[in-house]
Parts: sequence; structure tokens; C-alpha cells
Amino acid sequence: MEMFNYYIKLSVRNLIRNRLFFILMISTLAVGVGVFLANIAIIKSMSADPIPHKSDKIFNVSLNVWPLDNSDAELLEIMRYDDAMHILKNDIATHTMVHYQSQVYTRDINSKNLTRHQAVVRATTPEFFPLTDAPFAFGGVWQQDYAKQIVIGDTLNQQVFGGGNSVGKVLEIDGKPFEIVGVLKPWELKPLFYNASFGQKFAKTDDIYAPIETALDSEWAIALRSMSSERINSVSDNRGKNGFFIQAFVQLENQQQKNAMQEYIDNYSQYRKAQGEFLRANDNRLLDVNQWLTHQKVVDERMLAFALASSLFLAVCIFNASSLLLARYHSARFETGLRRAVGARIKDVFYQGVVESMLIGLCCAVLTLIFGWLFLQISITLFPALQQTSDIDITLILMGIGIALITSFISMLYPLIRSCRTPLSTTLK
Amino acid sequence: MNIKALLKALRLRKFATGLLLLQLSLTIGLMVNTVILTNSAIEKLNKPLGFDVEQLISVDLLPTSGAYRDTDYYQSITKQDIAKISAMDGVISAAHYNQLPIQRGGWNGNIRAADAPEDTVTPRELRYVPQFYSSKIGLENLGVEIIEGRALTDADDITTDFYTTGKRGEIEQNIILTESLAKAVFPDKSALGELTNNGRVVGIARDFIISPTRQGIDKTFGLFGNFLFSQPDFEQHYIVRVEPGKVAQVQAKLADTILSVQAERDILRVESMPERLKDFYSQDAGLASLFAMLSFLMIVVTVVSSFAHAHFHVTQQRKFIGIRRALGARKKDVMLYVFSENWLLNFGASIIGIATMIGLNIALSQVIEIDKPTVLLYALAVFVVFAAGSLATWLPAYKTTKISPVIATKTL
Amino acid sequence: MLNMKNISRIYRSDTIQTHALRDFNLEVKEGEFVAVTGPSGSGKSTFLNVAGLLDSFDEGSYELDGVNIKGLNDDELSRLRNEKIGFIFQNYNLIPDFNLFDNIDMPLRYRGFNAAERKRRITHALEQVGLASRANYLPSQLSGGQQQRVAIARALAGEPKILLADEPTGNLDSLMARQVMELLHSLNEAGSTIIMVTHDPEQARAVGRNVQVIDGQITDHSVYAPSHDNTSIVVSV
Repeated sequence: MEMFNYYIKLSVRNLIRNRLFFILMISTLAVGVGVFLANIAIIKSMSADPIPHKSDKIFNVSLNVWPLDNSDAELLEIMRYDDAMHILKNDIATHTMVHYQSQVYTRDINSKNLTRHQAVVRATTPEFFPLTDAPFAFGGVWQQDYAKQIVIGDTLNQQVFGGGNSVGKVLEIDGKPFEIVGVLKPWELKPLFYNASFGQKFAKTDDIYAPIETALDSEWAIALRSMSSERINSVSDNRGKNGFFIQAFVQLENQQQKNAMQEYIDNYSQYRKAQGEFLRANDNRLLDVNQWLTHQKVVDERMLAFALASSLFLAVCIFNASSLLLARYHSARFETGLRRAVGARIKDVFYQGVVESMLIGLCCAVLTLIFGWLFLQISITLFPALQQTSDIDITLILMGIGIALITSFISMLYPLIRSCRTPLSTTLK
Repeated sequence: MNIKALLKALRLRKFATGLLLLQLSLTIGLMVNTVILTNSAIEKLNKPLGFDVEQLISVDLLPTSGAYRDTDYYQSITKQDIAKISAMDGVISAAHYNQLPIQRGGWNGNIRAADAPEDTVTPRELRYVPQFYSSKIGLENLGVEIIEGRALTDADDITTDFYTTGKRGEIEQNIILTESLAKAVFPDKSALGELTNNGRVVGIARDFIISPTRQGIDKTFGLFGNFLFSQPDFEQHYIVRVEPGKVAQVQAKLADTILSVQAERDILRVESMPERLKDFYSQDAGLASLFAMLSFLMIVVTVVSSFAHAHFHVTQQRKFIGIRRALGARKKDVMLYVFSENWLLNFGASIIGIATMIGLNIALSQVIEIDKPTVLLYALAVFVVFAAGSLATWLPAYKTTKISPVIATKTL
Repeated sequence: MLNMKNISRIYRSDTIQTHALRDFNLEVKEGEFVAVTGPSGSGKSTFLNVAGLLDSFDEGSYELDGVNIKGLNDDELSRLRNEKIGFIFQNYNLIPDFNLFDNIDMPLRYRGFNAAERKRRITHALEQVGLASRANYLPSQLSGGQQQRVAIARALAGEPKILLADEPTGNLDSLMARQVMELLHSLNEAGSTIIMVTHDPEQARAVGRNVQVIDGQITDHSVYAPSHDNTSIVVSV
């Protein structure tokens, strides 16, 4: 411990004596690590597991029912109303839910203020909540498929009612009343795995959760894909028609359940084929949350490109720091030689170097966090889409400190080995 | 100048020299690729689009009230909006659109000749052709000319039939195709007067950029009909054509003008077309800016390292420099001596830089679209690194001239 | 105290082998003051480097204070340097930005003494060389002779078995040189064993025992008349 303090003292003295040198060296290194860290921060939250305790049990269901003729086309994640209803009927999965997204304008029916709030609607089925672990603050889910009842998210609850227990209150949408039966706690899912398609992977959780039948009957808008020439006259007219717009997820606890589910959907598409539908070669697919997010290319490829560049930049900064340190040790070899002559062992010299590199690493870490934060802000300014994704948490800070320490050590390593190896008899003359 | 001696000196410091070479060559490689990305982002922004971008303002809005579910109400408000906007000072014309050019996704459909045999496979680019529905002035309002046939007229408006129960199925609309689309659907004959699965072609419009993200000839594919889509759940779009120089003035008043007709609307965006274009490419521009920032930082690192190395070189060689001076070297000989090491390193780095540049380009092309490097860009990057290095070496080199020859006679 | 038998040290480059030391024999007893002379390139420095454990040797045996050096690893050599040897260099080799106290402190740190013990030794060593009042000075604030005395104090502080001095007055003018030599003599009288490399015949003559190195071998030990009668000269060729 006494030696440690001595080395700290020596290092501090050394740093102060060569301050211009060390300021340049440490700040270039910190810039490199900072850029790298900012990039890691973004990629890390992009590739985060939104529901780690059961991400391997929740599966997206993609059915081979899109009537496109080219067999190499990507399998579609959306399905028709009838397909979704068939998926719902399975008695294999622990939880099954289907959903689609809509958007409405709404207001408190009893409010004198006529301003309506834009609200994203998740038209879904009751098992949405246990499957996604959506946290209820008050109340619960609707009990009937066609009920004019809804669950609202915390944000909308704050906007319209100023928070609190709003169960029993009524929202007006398109002039019709909808009773609130449940209110969720603030809820973050990054990425929003159940709605990862169509560029919405980093959207916020929804404002209104409504029974799928109610949403259809209310004619709330949908984004529809269709390959057939039959006419769909309205949103509610989709029952029994060939409009594709619903996504499905199931929770399966083990391989047997998964096999059974796979068989269930395979049978279904065979049945549709027997009914005269034209099916592609691509098979039905069950992807768990992480496979699903990878499939949806959840990490922005631009960020990957930048990650490539920023890791090269980090390498450049390490090379720079290392060659600077090499030059410095070269000039300090007299002192090293002297220490060796008066009895310092190689490990003493090495230990002293390690202490110094840790001190440099700590200075570097402080600067790294500052630069990292700065670059993250710059990235967010340049990519407003990242706003939702990037946040600095404690693991990231620890990572930053760790990377700074490691890079300092790496930069120091070769110069240090070199200075330890210098033959003694040549340095003191 | 003794290059051999210099090379020997560098060889003695193999590791340090190697690191520097790697550092400088990576800098060159990154800079070239950065400039490529930045260039292509700028190029995209400045590419002529073929319609009057500078004079247009777009408005995106959504009704918030259930009253708009009544189609007649919806249509009457839209018509009032357009009339009121058209009457504004500085406005030439205005029209409603179901979608706008320069967008991703949208309202697309397949198109083929009506008499094509059932089993013909529609080529990929004809499967997702953007379908535009606007008023009869929809194309004119954008500044796009009809080059063959005629423009759409009031008689072509299918809105009433579309929303009349039972009539929807009987509609055979008249449409205008862009030139490239007309050629793609009817390669062997004029499309004019031909019937497609989407209606009869009565006019052909000059090509303009509709879907900039598409890679093939379908960039300029578009179909235009006369129809007011009256579904309140979908975003509605207005494009306002303004007299030159009055864009900002009109833009400032548009939202209020629309809300004065009926207030229960959410005006999502009022943007000039150039702003819209910039937004559209904001991701590319953002990436280019990030890379530009990285390049700048690399130059800073190059400056720092060149400075530090020259500085060390000079400090270490103080005595030898003094001896050289004592033996008759002029100040500029000594300065040149310091510079030459930097130049030699840069020369080596520029050779290795070719490999890092190409390697990085290939690696980047695995994840994003990126053009190939050119000799000019390479030369530019080498020059910048060279200039930055020389600039940073200048101060330490200048310091050598201050070293007195007297130092040679002193023992340190 | 120091016993070298048939030591040889060969420097090899690609084409040339240089015998810096060849069949070198020297025994130094406790309390002796030995002056090593010889022309440039004779192997004096190599001898000092080998004796000081800064350099290795190829053949022969070397015993220092009863410890056989052959086969010791670097850690053990470092330990021996630290405990048994005090170096005095021609150019002092003080660390310019350490004050006198910290310069002398350095070897003691590696010995693992506690703070109180280090302070006692440093103060004592500075007193011995007459610089006790200047512990906080930087080397650059001292004259050459004073700097060399600091270097001697640094060597003494570890209470070594043997002092190795390499041209200790080489950089000093005659007055300062005389002061340093007087200091070395008084240390010798107080019991220190000293081996000094010098090319100054006068200095050599003033010392108890003389050996001359030529071509890596001790060729003569009686060039200068010994000044102490009781000196035992054990040099075998």
C-alpha cells in the first residue's frame, strides 16, 4: 500500500510535469472512447431485450397466407381477420393475443374543453396484458369482446384527466362514449417488440387499448394490405375478407408447446391451401422476441456503419496514445534505468507503470463521460429518431469507465514492456 | 536531405512508426469514405426533382371530430379550405392530395393493361405504383406539364360515384400516367386511350421524381386520378402553389386560414417543399454529419500526434541539432530535417491509406449504400492529412531554429 | 567481499565478437579502497557493470558478500543491488525534478523501509555529506560537487556493503574533486569498501590499492606505489 501511494505520488508529479503532453494524449484518447461510448449507448438500447425474463417464451406468429406468387419474397407478419381469429382459438399457448394499430382523437366526455388529444390505439384481445406484462395501476381488462370499454395508458391519463384513478370515467371518440375499465402505470418497452414492424420499433407504448371487435365496429382507421380485387367497403367489412392488417403473438413455455403451436399453424395454412388459396413455398414461422427483433432489423444500419467507423477511430486514438507514450518512455528511460540500478525489480517498474496508466485511465474516464454525453447529444440532434432510444444508465457509465481504463492500459502496455526491457548498463552512462 | 538515414532512424523505432503509419492511413481511409457519404447526401438534396419544389408548401392534417365521418361534410369542408387558401395573397393555386410526392410507403397499387392475360406476371416495379388522387389541377399545381393527351377535367371526377352506394363497382375512371410508367405498362404502343386495370389513360405527364428511395426506373412512376378521398382516419394533404418570394409569408398564415374554416382539425405539419425534402433526407444527412464530425476529430488527432511527435523529436535531439548547427547547418536545413520525418511518414501512410480506404469502403458497403472511392477524393484526403501534419509540425520545427549551436560544446 | 574468478564477458554483433572482459580475476576484501585504472576501451566500464550487477557475464564465477551471482534471476539481482551496492556515477544521475530528499529516498522505497526509518537514514546520509540543511533543494540548485555528494549520500543511505564509483570526479573541477575524494577517503576509513574507476593517476595513487585493466584483463597491480602497508593484494592472472 505504501508503494502504491508512492507510485501515485510519482505519477501525479509526472503528469503535472508533462501536462501539455498528457492533456493532449488523454484528451485524444478520451475523444476516441467518448465517440465509441456514445455509439455503444445507441446500439445497446436499440438491441436491448425489452422483456428479458420471458423474451424466449413470447413468439411472433407469421403465417404463410399472403397470396404472392414469388416464392423468395419475405414472409409477411400481418394476417387477415379470419386468420387472427383462428390463431386466437388455439388451446396450446399460455397466452395468445392479436392486435393492430389505429389512431383516434379523443377527449373527456364531461370536460367543457373541446380540445381533442391524439391517441394511438392498440386494438387487441384481453391476453395482450398478461403476455406483455403490461402493468395495471387501476382496474383491469374488458370482459366482453364487443364492449365499449377501453384501457388507457399513463400518458393519456395524465393528458386528459391529470392522472389518478380514472376507472369509470368516459372518453369521447368520434362522438361516441367509451368507458375506461383500466389504467396502466407508466410503461416503457424498448424496443416496442409487439409492434416492431413498419418503422415503429422505438415508438412509445400505446394510449388506448380497445377490444379488437369494438375497434373494427367503430371504423377506426387501419393500415391495410391487400392483393385481391374484392372490395372492402369499410374497416368493419374486413371480417371474412382478404385485407391483411393484424399481427399475432403467443406465449409458449416449452419446446412441446412450441412444436404443438407450429403444427397448429401448419395445419391451418394447409387447410387454407385445400380451400383453394395459393400459398408460397415459405413456411409458417414462430420467432421469439429477440429473433423477431433481429428479423425486423431493429438496429439501424446507419448506426452499425458508424459503429464500424467509430471503432476504427478508437483504434486510431489508441495507436496515437500508444506511440506518444512510447516516445515518452523512451525519454524517461534514464530514470527507469536509475531505478533499476538502485534495486527496483522489473515488476516494481511495471507496477509503477500500471499505477500511472490507471491514473491516466481515470482522468481519461472522466473526460470520456463528458465527451460521450456530448457526442450522444450531437447524435440525437442529428438523428431525431434516436430520441427514444438512447439513454445513459449506470451500466453504461461503468462501461465507459471500464473502456477508458482498458484502453489506457492497452496504450501503455507496449511502451511499458519496452521500457522494462531496456538493458541497464546502456542507460546510465 | 538524407532519406536513407531518416528511414534508418524510423526503422529503429519500428513500433512507434508502425503505429503512426496505421493511424495516418486509417485517417485517410475514413476521411475518403466520409466525404463520399457527405457528398451523396448533398447530391440527393440538390438533385432536380422535376417539379416546382421552391414554390410549394405542403400541409398535413387530420380531422379530430366525428362529424367528418359524414362524407358530404368532409368534402364540403375540404372544398371550403381549398377555396379560402386559393384566395390568400400570394397563392397561385391549391389542391388536395391523398398523398404527396417524396415519401416512403404510401398508397400504392399494381397496374397492367386491362387486356393482359390473367397469367402474366406483373413485373416488380409495376406492383407498387403510387396512385395519386387530387383535383383536376393536381398535376398543374405541382408544376408538372401534360406532354400528350389532355389534363383531367371536372367530368373525370369520380368522387360522387365512389361514395354513392352501388355505383362504386361500376366506375371506370380516366387517369394520367407519367411518361416512364406509360412506357413500362404499354412498351410497344402509345398508352393514350388504352385501358388499364385502374382506368383509361387520357393523358401522359412529364416524368418527375415521386419515390426517390426507389433504385430503378420506378422512381418516376405515378398514376393520377380526379378524386377526393374522404376518409377522416387518414392524413389529408394540401399543396399550395405560391408566387416566388412569398413562401414564408403564406406559410405563416396557412394553419390559421384552415382552422378558420373549421377548427376541429389537427394541423400536423406545414412545411415548404424544400423543408420536406430536407426532412426526408434527414437520416442520410445525419449520418453524413456524424461522419464529418468523426473526420474532423481525426484531423485534430492527426494534428495532435504530429505536433507531439515533432516536439519529442526536437526535445530528444536537441544536442544533435546543436551539433549540426555548430557544423554549419543553416536554420532552414534543421527545420527541413524535422519536417522531412513527418513527410516521409505521411508518404508511407498515403500508400497504406489506399488499402484502408478500399477496405473500409467494402466494409461499409456491407451495411449501407456507399459509392466507390475516387482518385480525386483520395488525393484530397492525402493532402488534408499532409497539410494538417505539416502545420502541426511547424511550431516544434520552428523551435529548432532557436537551438543555439553553443549547446554542442556543453555536456548535458 | 567481492570475488571474481575467470570472468569473461563477450559482446557479439553480427560479425564481430568483442571480449570486453577475458579471464578476469579480482578479489576485494572488506574495508578495501580499490582504484581501477586503464586506458579507454580496456574494459573498466564492463567490469564495473558486471560488478554492479547491471550486466551479466558469460563465463567464470562471481561471489558478492558470500552470494554466488551465477544463475540468479532479475528479482534477486535487483534485491542484491538494492541492499549491498551503492552506485556513484560520473554524471551523478540525480533525478532533476526530485529534491535531494526524494532522490535519496528512491532506493530506500524499494527496500520497503517504513517512513520513519527512511527519514532517519536520509537525514543521516545528508549529514554525512554535509548537505543536511538542503534536503528540499533541487539538484539544479547545487554545484557539481554538491550534486556528487548527494549521489554519494544516496549510495550511503542504503548502508551498502560496497560502493562502486565510476569516475566520480570526472565532471568536477579540481577543488570540488578534492572535496569528493576526501569524502570517499573518510568513508573508507569509517569502514566502507570502495571500488573506484578512475583515469586520474594522482587519485589512484592516493588510494590503498591499484589495479590496471588492459584488454579486458588485469595486467598490473603495482603501477602505483600503495600508500597503505597493510593492503593485501590478491590478484592472480
